Amino acid sequence: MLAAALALLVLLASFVPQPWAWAACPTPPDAARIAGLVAAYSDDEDHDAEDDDEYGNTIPQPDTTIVVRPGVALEIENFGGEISVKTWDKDAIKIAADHSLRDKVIIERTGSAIRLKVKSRRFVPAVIRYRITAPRWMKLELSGVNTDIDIEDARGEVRAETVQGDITLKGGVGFASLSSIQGEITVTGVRGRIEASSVNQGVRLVNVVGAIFAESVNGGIVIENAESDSVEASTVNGPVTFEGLVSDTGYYRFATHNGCIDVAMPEKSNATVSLSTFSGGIDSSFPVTLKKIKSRRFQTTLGSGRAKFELESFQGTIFLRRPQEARQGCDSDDEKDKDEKDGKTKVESGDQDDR
Amino acid sequence: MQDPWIERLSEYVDEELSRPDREALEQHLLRCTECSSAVEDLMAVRERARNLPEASVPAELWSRIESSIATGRLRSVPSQEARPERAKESGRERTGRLSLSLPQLVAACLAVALLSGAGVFALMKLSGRASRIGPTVAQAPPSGAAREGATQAQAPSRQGAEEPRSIAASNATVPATGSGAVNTTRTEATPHEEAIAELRKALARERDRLDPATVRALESNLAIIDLAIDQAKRALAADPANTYVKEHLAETMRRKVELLQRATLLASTANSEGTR
Repeated sequence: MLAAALALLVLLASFVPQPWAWAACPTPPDAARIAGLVAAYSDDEDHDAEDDDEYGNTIPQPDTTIVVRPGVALEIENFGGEISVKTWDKDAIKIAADHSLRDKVIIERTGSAIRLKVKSRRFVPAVIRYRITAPRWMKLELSGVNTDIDIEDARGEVRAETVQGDITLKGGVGFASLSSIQGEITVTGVRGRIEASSVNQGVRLVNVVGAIFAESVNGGIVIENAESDSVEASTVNGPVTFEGLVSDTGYYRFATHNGCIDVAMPEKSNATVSLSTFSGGIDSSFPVTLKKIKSRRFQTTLGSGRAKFELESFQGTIFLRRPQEARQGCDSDDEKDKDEKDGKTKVESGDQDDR
Repeated sequence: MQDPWIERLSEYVDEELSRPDREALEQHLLRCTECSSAVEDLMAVRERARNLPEASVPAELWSRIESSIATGRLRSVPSQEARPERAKESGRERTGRLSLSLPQLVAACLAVALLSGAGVFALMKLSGRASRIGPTVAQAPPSGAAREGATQAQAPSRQGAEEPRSIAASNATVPATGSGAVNTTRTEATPHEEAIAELRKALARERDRLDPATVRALESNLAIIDLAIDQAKRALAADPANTYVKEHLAETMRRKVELLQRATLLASTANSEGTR
């Protein structure tokens, strides 16, 4: 009798779907609902026994694909390694992770998000290389410590934060907030509002269409081929370079303490440009008329002057040039005195001016 | 005329504005330094309020509240040393400590929160006004301005480009001596410096949770900002009327506060997630 009951149980158990299969079902079974909205499971739990690597070597793990409904976000918290996210047109997320078999990737599924976390059996932070393929629309919230983050062609909101690692965002549409302490931020070909911040490295934004806010402490900021009516870029120790279209209704602010500001103004720009420096200089490759507004504050008007530019460098040179001209290097500050050419505007500013 | 948006900044900070209003205000903030500075101040106050330590509550409080709810009346709790003379005089037990029912407690808490919020807001508005007035008043004397203008009128582009310095002249009610200007700057920088001191303490407590490489990077970047602040302060001492330097100093200090906040947050989250 007991044996028959056990056999019946085993038979019933064989019909119970695996957790990833639940996720793939359009309507999850009642058991999953009863268990709560949070389901936690491991992507490699079936492989631990047979593939266990006693040396803790990193071995590629089998992919897991989960069907997701629109609106669900992906949240990944990683310690070391990499998070690489590509996108596709399917409403499903493919998760692959390379890691030691002593670590487990936990997939938590809530009503609004799929969350990937790591459970380390050694009680030391794990190193995971995530390779994710997500729906294009998916909102991404990615964070890491010693982690590089790469995202391609995302069309949902992107929030990425790391401590010691670079962040690269390539292609895509929508708002992106990217932040690193020790890594470089690179954004290429994105349409949408970008907020990029690094502490100890630079920020580079190329072919961005949309509002830009870029910030660093000890790094330069380069903005190339931007198409935006709102750009703010500032750093403490590094240069700031801007090349892009100037919208008549735009607001553009570039500031640094120790570095140059290099702005390429298209020929037919309509902008009022305010330039401020304490001990730096002002250098233009084309003729401009500088009005002195206040102490060490100047202004020039190009065309109708509708757009507003604020350029500030405490002790570096502010360069104005045309887009086709070569970018200025900040190290040229030392040679600026012997580099006067016809049609160039130069203003030297400094303590000696007042005395 | 007062800026029509100034009254709505608090709603903006509390995320209570409708989307069109918020967008309109954000556009306005891009152009209005006064409002954007006020928003920054409001956010700083909110941030500091969030970081206030939780007040410890006496262990027996909840049981007293519970018993008050159970008896359904306001009850005085005997206090050991509470004015025994008065109690004797009145012929009944009276204490200096008041016990309230739960709804009364909630109402009292709300009232205290509202009052303290209003107080902070009023103080902040006053200090904000003072700091906004400060730099305008401390303009350079006309002679200095003229001298500076004359020295700088060398570049080809500056032919006939001098504008009358009417703002500086008309507002030069306070002599812009070195010491006066430095005092103005100090007044303006005080909230930042207080925040920096508090964050420094918090970070010092938590820094062991951070990875040494992260600590080194943060320290080196704080040193870079400190150097910039020092240079800006010296510049301001040498040229007290320079509004650019004043704003630059304030922005650099704000950046330091932000970096310290970020570092502290990083350290506090590192506890549960391993060393950062």
